[in-house]
Amino acid sequence: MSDPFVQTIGLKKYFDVGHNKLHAVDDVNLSIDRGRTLGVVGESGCGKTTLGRTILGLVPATSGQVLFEGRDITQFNGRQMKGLRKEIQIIFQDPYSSLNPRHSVGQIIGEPMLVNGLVRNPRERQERVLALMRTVGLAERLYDSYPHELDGGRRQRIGVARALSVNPKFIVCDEPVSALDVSIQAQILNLLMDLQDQLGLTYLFITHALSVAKHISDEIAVMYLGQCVERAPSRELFRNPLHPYTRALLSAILIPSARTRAVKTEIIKGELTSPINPKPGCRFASRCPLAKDICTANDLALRQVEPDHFVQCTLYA
Amino acid sequence: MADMTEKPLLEIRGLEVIYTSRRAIVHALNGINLRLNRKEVLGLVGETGAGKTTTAFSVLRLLPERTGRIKAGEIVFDGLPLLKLSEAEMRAVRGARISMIFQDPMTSLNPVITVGDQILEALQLHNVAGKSPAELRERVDEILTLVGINPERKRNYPHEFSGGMKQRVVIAIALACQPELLIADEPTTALDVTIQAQVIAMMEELKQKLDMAMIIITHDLGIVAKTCDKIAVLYAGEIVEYGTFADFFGQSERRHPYTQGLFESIPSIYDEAERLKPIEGLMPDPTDLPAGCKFHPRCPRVMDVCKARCPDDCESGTHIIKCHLFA
Repeated sequence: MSDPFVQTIGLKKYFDVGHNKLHAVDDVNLSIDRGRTLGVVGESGCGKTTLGRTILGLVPATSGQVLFEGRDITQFNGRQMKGLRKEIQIIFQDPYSSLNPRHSVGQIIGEPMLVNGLVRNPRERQERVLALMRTVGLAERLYDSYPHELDGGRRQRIGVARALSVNPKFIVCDEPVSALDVSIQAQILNLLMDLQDQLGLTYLFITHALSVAKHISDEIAVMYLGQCVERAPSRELFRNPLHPYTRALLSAILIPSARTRAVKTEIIKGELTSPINPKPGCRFASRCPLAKDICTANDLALRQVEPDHFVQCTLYA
Repeated sequence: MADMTEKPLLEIRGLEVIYTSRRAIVHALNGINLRLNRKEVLGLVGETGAGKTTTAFSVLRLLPERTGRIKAGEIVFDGLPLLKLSEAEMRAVRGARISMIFQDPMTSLNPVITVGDQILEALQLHNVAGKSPAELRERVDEILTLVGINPERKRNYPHEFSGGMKQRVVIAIALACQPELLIADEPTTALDVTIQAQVIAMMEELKQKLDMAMIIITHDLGIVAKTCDKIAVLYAGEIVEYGTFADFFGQSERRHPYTQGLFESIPSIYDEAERLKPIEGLMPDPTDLPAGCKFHPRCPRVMDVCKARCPDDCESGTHIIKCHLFA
């Protein structure tokens, strides 16, 4: 087997909160092959956004490694990191706050090229920006428009074009469709999948919506309080969810069909516990309907239970 | 229709609402008709800007005073013509007989008043039975228990609660006076899926217990499938489709092309579809609506007549579709 394109090994990110440590990302091991999509799924506060940012080096890792084409980028210096930015990019969640309101569409999309010295003169830059606008489905007449003049779907297309402007190989998509209406959501999902086919992009796709994750991902990692509790190819995860948390998440999806009313949703009690100095053992134990004493005795590790299917739970130890 | 014989709890007829600004007139609602019986749950579905919240605000007469205006139409609640009531008469209805849960639980609570006092306030304002302060305080404990919050926590401030718990507090305030109609504007949109499941289960249970009618405003057809008896789909300020749960989720193939598009835009967790079929284009500009059917510029089944003439409501039993295809 070839080496993975992007890989994290024991990746941790702790934030200081007074004298305590907030375990935002706690020992996460992931890998993504070239041209594939890994979906990262979880609820607010599970650390999925911090995971994405730590992988990109936007926040420094506390420990662990992030390997990009075999190189550990957590050890990169400023100059190396700047070179790397051309290869890895991010699309942000909120198309309303992630664009500079005082820059025109042309300026926003063209700026990364300028910063990275990818264009020789303004004309070349304009040509390339217009080409990118065509790629993502933005009309050329919007070149001089400002973000406030555009709707959410078009703004997110600007975010996509900006990420593409430096010809990256790897893009972290952080909830890119969450702020959009369903009909527009579908347009952007199709666009991202088309671009992946055309340009051979690799995605880390962060979302709280399982149905979206299933649609776009080859493999899915489910996160809970900083840890990856289950990882499997998407189809396998939906066919055979193993972790009680994954099962609860799947059960909570409301499908627009008559079946939804007939099926009783499995409701898990309680809410996310605090990620500050978490207790040892399974972090889901306090909400888990199947919890036993051994769940909170020792820290658990992600174990392979079937080919390509990993789960962190005492039920499968 | 069996429906028509029962006297509806709420009836909206020909409601037209506009917002005016210096530059333009926004046509937010363009003649909508709705009826809701007692104990029924109506889902009001649509995307951003369709007019869902405007409908709710019109019923409660909470439209922004300077810019919003009801141009035409009637809203009758249990025989009361709401649009003809004086402000004082309306205040006796609002919060007592009709109450509303606003979209964002994080911003609809007062951050400097304890949650207990916020519930108490609603009770004091509508204390028609003249209950004593002690009785009212007892009622606060009762309501908190009802929504699954330990009454001890009434002395806490909103920031001490999580998002899901805040939404429960908001629901507690809305239910304090045992309204006959509860309007819930995107009640779970800001919540995580597992918390959403908890809140929806609780609302279902409360509906049974309290015998109220509900209007649930949402963009999520999954929530509609889980909770609603009747469904109205709004597009550009018009109800393009209205029917019962069975009309929408049964075997019938009759569907407005917009509703069809909404269904097809949602990634399925059962099928292995390679591509989604989004609705092309965007919602029309409400200051400059297209002639004819307002959906025609985006409609995959558009005909010549759609561009020229606004379609009528085509009825088939309980199912009403505003589309030339079914004329």
